[in-house]
Amino acid sequence: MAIWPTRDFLYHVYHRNEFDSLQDWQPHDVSVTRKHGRIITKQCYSLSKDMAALHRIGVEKGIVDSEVTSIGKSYWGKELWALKVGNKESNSKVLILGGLHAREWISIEQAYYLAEYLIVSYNRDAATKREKRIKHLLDNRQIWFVPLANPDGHDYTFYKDNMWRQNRGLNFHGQKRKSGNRTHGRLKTTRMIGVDLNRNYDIDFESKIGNDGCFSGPCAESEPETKAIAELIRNNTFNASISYHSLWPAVLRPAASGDDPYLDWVIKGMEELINNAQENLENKQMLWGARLKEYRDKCLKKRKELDISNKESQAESYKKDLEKFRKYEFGTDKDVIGYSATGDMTEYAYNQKQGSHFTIELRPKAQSELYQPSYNEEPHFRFSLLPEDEIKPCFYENLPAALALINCAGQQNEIKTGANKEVQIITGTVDKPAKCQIVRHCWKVFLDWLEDEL
Amino acid sequence: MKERLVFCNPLILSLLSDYPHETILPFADGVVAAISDEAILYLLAKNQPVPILYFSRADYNQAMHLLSPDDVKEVVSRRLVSWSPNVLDHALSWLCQGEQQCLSLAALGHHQNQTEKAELLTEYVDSKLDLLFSLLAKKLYSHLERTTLLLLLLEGESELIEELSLAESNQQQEVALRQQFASELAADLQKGGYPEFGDGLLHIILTRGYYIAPHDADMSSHLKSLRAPYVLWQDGVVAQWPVESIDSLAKAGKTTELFYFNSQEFFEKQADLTMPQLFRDFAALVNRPRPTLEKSRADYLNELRLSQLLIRQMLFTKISSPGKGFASLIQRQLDKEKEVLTLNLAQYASWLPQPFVRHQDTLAQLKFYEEGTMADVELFLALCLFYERHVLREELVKVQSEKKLHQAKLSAC
Repeated sequence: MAIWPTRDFLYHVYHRNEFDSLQDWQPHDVSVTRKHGRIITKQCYSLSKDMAALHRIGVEKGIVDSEVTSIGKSYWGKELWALKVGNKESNSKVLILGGLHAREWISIEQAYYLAEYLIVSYNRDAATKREKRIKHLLDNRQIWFVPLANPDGHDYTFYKDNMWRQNRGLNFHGQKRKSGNRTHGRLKTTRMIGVDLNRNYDIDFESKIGNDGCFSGPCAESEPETKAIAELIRNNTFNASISYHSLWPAVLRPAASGDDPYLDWVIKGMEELINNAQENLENKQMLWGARLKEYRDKCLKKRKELDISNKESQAESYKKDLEKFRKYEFGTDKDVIGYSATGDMTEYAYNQKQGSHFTIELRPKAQSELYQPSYNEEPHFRFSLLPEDEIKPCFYENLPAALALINCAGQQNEIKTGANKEVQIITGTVDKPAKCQIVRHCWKVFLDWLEDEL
Repeated sequence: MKERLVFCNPLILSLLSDYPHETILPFADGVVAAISDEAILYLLAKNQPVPILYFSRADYNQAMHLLSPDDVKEVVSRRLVSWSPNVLDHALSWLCQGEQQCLSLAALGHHQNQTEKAELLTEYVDSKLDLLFSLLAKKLYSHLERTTLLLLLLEGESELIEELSLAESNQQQEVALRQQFASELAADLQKGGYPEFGDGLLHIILTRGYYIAPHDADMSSHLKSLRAPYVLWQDGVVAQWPVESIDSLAKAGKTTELFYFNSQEFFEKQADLTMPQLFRDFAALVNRPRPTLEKSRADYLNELRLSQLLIRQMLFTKISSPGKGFASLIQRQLDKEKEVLTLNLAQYASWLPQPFVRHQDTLAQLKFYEEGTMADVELFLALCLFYERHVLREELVKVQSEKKLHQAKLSAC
């Protein structure tokens, strides 16, 4: 049996503990560097330590498997830790994964925070409607959380290059050397470090160096990290999964699901839930965090000063600006980013078992220029890592959709077993239109989730 | 006396009546002002911390250069929101910058003084490198195992060889040296159970920040699909691009101009600066004369060399039996690395504010810089105490005592 490390230097930057039971956790001052340059000191928490604490609480509540689970090791031997939460006998399985790409820190936080939210909120003697719903989810689903799927790469983003995306494995990319491509009489070697783990799955795999300079690997599942997760997927055939990423808000469905009406309905549900959550947050002035709220107010004031006669259009323009950074796009990767990614994890999971499999790209930090009238129409694409005060809004705007997806994962089994009364009332059959009804129900119950939460 | 640029609200202004301060700009209900460290400490004692906007007037001037009054206010506003509240997170970076400048000046001084002072300056250079090792390497690399450090070094040598091969000046000698370094490191990795690294150099895809013109919709959608930041400017776009793919852009009828050797610098600027600041910077990067461009390259190469030196030093501390076999090999590499770095620092006066005027008396200049960095440490210590950043404070106390020794060494010169 593996044991939790007491100190492993894998940190998550954003997390601030808010639950009484976890208050003994202390942050560390950790230095983060950009490549060959400036270092920033960040207060960070140990991910392993936090996961160990969640594990302890979950075991006490009887909702986490007492065995600590490592699903494999990275190229350089770091454990890929997983938390198996819920009912371990359940066949309704969900995978929540973060940190496949090293630099996308918020994706790690989102996956971890979701696990924390469910485990800490779980109450065996559930009394309120909300508690009952969480209890229903965890009593009837088996949810695997793998918050950090690329630990070597993630570590590298702290000590060497905060924009690194791949893992740290050595590979031969097999590209023929171009004639005349010599430097000082030396032929360019074809051995390089780093494989884009989200191009390395055995689905439409192509061995190539992408336009972003990232290598997809010499063959499918060449990387131990990919192999470990692919095996987890093969062994569990998940009904639903979310692979969190970041830097441009989008919910991506598998390309192969193009003619699957079931996913048409699910993605509509995701859209409704995320938009609804954002509106809830915006109404409570929480959407952009304290930093930007204050800033937004100042900028609105400034706009008023600039053009008092044109208040309405200023307000409209402001709303449009905000939407640029908050508005999620929905569809396949081809619909949203213009090309189909090869060797993609979500595509692989869908190929193993059709179900609700999604890649969710979380939003970047909004840029203050959005509030400046003169730059409204410039389609620049600027980003930086999401600042700490936007983590909670980002988590909450995605929470109802994640809960609904976990809920959806069990519906077919529930129809068969008749375990969920609400579903039986609405449908009672398993043909496609009926399924859509269920999906609608699955997300509808989470539409008002944030009302009491915030 | 050092000046810091701060934002003073009316309450703070009223408290500052006994302290000299210069109003730079009226802002919101207060002013942006230049005040002394003494005044900041006084305000801390009154439990009135003042938001620091820039650690020096030169930095402020550089940030606001050529901006309109509205744009200046926008920068201040942004800085107040996103930088000032985390001012101590930037302390180490600022200190490292100052220490690197001292190192560069010392290398210059050593180069100019072939007398008895040279020996003292050598000691001073060593102590600066030790301090940078504590400030940077210990924080970033101390948890890494020997194998990972070897790999980092091998990667760094491969990158430097690629970079040197692109430089205009003849760098054959250093390339040969680094090829030797790489094969020695690879041999150790091979011996340690990693035969896949035995052949030495790795393929490195260098990326830089380029201005690419003309811009079209295809280019935007391509960049968007990469999830890479880009900024439209004039009739083109500024973005990160792999060096080896630049030819294909030319074939597609695009012109390119190199803006940033370190593409991370572009990432950082696009994230931190306002649009007017970015556009101003871009304008200054167009048609740079060849010597200016080569100076930027030299500075970047020196950053790479320093990084290699510090990682090597960390590897050395992890070797269990110094003086034997591999340890002496790394020591030899370290000595050589230091020699190459100091030589190049002296040649290009790297990292020093531009335009850099070479004084006859480099030592006097160095003493001035040393005093400045000591004042920074003292200010940060006071801020750490106020904001209860105990871990950082402990580190700074050590830095302060080391710097006292450095000052003593300089006084002896």
